[in-house]
Amino acid sequence: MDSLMQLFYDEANEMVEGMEQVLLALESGEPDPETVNALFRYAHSFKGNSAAMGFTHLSKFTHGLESAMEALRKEQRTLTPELATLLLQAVDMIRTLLERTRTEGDVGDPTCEPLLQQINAVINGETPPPVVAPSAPTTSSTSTPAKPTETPATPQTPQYRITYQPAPTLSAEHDPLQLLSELNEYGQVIECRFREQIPPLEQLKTDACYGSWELVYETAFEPAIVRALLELAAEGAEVRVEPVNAAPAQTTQPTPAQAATPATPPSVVASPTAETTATAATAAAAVNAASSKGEAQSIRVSTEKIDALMNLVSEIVIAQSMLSSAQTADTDERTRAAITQMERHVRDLHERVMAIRLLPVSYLFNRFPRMVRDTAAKLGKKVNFEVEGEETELDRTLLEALSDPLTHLIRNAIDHGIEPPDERRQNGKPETGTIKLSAYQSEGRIYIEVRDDGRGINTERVREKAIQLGWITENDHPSEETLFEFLFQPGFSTAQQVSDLSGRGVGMDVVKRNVESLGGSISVQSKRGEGTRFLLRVPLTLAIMDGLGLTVADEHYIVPLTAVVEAFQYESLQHTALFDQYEMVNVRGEFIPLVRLRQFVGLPETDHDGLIVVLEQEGEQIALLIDGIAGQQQVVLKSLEENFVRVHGFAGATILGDGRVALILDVSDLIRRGRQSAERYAAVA
Amino acid sequence: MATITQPTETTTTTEMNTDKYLVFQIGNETYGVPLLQVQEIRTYTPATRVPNAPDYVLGVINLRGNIIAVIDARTRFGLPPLPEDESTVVVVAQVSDKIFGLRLDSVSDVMDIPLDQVQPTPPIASEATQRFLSGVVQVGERVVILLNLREIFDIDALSSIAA
Repeated sequence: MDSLMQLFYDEANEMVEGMEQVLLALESGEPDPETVNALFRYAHSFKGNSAAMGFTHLSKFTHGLESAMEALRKEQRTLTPELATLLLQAVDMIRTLLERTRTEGDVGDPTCEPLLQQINAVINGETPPPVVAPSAPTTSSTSTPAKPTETPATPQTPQYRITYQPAPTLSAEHDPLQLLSELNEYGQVIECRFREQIPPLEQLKTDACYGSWELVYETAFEPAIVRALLELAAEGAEVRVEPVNAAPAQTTQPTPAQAATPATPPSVVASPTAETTATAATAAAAVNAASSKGEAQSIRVSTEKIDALMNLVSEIVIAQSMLSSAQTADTDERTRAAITQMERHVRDLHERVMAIRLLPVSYLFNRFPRMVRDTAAKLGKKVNFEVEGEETELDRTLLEALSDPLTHLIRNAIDHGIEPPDERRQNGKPETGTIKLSAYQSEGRIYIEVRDDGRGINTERVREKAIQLGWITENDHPSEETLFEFLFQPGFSTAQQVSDLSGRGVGMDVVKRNVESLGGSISVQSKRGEGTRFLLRVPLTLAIMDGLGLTVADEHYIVPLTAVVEAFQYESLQHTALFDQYEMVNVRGEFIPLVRLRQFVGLPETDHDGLIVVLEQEGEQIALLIDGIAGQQQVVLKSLEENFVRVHGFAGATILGDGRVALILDVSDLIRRGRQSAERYAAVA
Repeated sequence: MATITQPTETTTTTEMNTDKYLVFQIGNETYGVPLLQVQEIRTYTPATRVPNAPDYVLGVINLRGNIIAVIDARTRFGLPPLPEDESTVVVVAQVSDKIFGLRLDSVSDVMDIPLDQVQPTPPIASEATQRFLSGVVQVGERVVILLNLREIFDIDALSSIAA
């Protein structure tokens, strides 16, 4: 596909998504002329673009849509659910037409015209004229105390006086110097004064901060942006921003009491006069300005190019480690220094390139509001969908791989979790259920949570179903945890009705398998009548990990360091073999299945005593017998499948410092191996 | 739209109907593979063994950041393997979007093979190895046996290696 065409599709997809988001936002929020305008603009540029590409049907349809929205804009109509549905259908239509231009060329769709007519009919008042948004005047009156003319029209770049008082307890994240240099990127720090309030020696605390800074800062950016910048750089600190060359009223020193207006973020002390200028109205403008600036500063790069760059950087990392290990005692000082410096730069480069691959989860989360809306409508449920932490960043490949599992979990939550409105009312719950999707990073992992406030998992029914499936007997009363585990087993579904959305007996096991194939895990918590929470844990990136090198004979294998629990001398552990089938070792009274790595990789056994590494995944442990440990290293995960085939037992390969390839063991496969021999043992016994 | 390059168009030099082939000896015979499928020729570096792989798969090596499999031509043809020496090479070739290496004792030449003179392979080899051959051709005094790299790599038969 030529690049112009590709650009068109990229932009078109972005616009379609944008329109959908705007529509959903409009539907849930109060009418806001700005969002309607955004919608109009989308339709308008879409029309232009598709006309330029010669897609007449697409441009005709979007032209019709544009006119309809023009009416919507002029009439200042509120978006009724009916109209929202129609407009969403129009968005779908654009998608269909787009897809057709790809596959069939410039062909139309017979339903275009009727859809447009319907939209026009609704807009042009076949519905009662909407009450001109009762909330609109009030919102506008509060949000426009500062008319553009009131903002001081400063001929020169505005200056601000910034007071920066670090949190009373200094912590490592606090770096005043970094703050200053960051400020300098967006403007100019004209004056910087340090003020100390050091108490007498006997009152001095070693970890406390007794200084503050006063800056005069010149920037073309909006005060809101300056504040945002400061807040980011100086969490927990007290920051004040006051315009210097503003109206006299604004120079009055704000007292902290006055300043603590609930509308402003707690860390910002807002002056009631100057700051109101900056609140609602300017804040919105600032956000717009920021976003438009963000657009101007980003460029579209094909993922292929990034992956190629990533590969190249991985190569450099390897070459670098070859170079480093080539140093000998004779290496002269200058070469040594150069290698050390190079090492640092290579590491930086690597991190930067890795960061390019990271995308905010909003990229994925944005797909869900629409799905929730449609699914809920289909099932006659009322669902309020909340998203949190959408700025959390994740590797692109991971994001894509998470799409299916999350879709499934959210559908399940709507279908099985959230009760119908009348049932909720009877149980004294609000009619509208809440599903919350949140993401956060902790301990080098990404956590994604799907939480609903629905009926929770009926453990009794899970038990019945398990009995029915012959997994347990009537007399078994497994723990809640075990019962929840059943949900992830293939062939399990408690849905009484098989719907076309979820509950076909496949699903949760696939979700679990998908998440695990990403090196992640999933767990569930649930309380009857209160709701269910699924927690997904995935690694930050698939491309790189910390590994532990294991050796058998002259071969070198890698296990993910996260899976390693502990290591023992083989002879230090009590060893039991039952029927030569099931070997176990006794680790502090607990018997753990033993897998011999030599056997696993098809090497002859040895008499030498080796080491045992205990590996754990998903709460299951295995003892792996190896010859030795080669040390810990960062490994770049490479696919074996790309140019070869999938090799069972291995998650991939990596390239060692000397350029050789080492295979990465798949811990879940090893555990499965251990479990299988356990099952064989159980069958024999 | 990018034009699809026809192999014959790009390789035809002055004469019509000839293709360039990379030619090498295995045992006493001369074999050839289409030069167009060959990406590069490397000196042999020890491969990392892949557990449970068939014997002709020597293992995997690092090709500028990509992991590729190396197949031993002699083992693949049922001949006893030779110890590696300075002339041992790996011919890196691409078939069906996958890149792999073929370990050879040595490479000798690039030849123009007149395509219209290629004859179907006589049943000179066992049936098992017959499928590796795509024809024979007499060039001057030499008889060149043309190889089918796709069959030699035969990724579909491997599909996945079970533990």
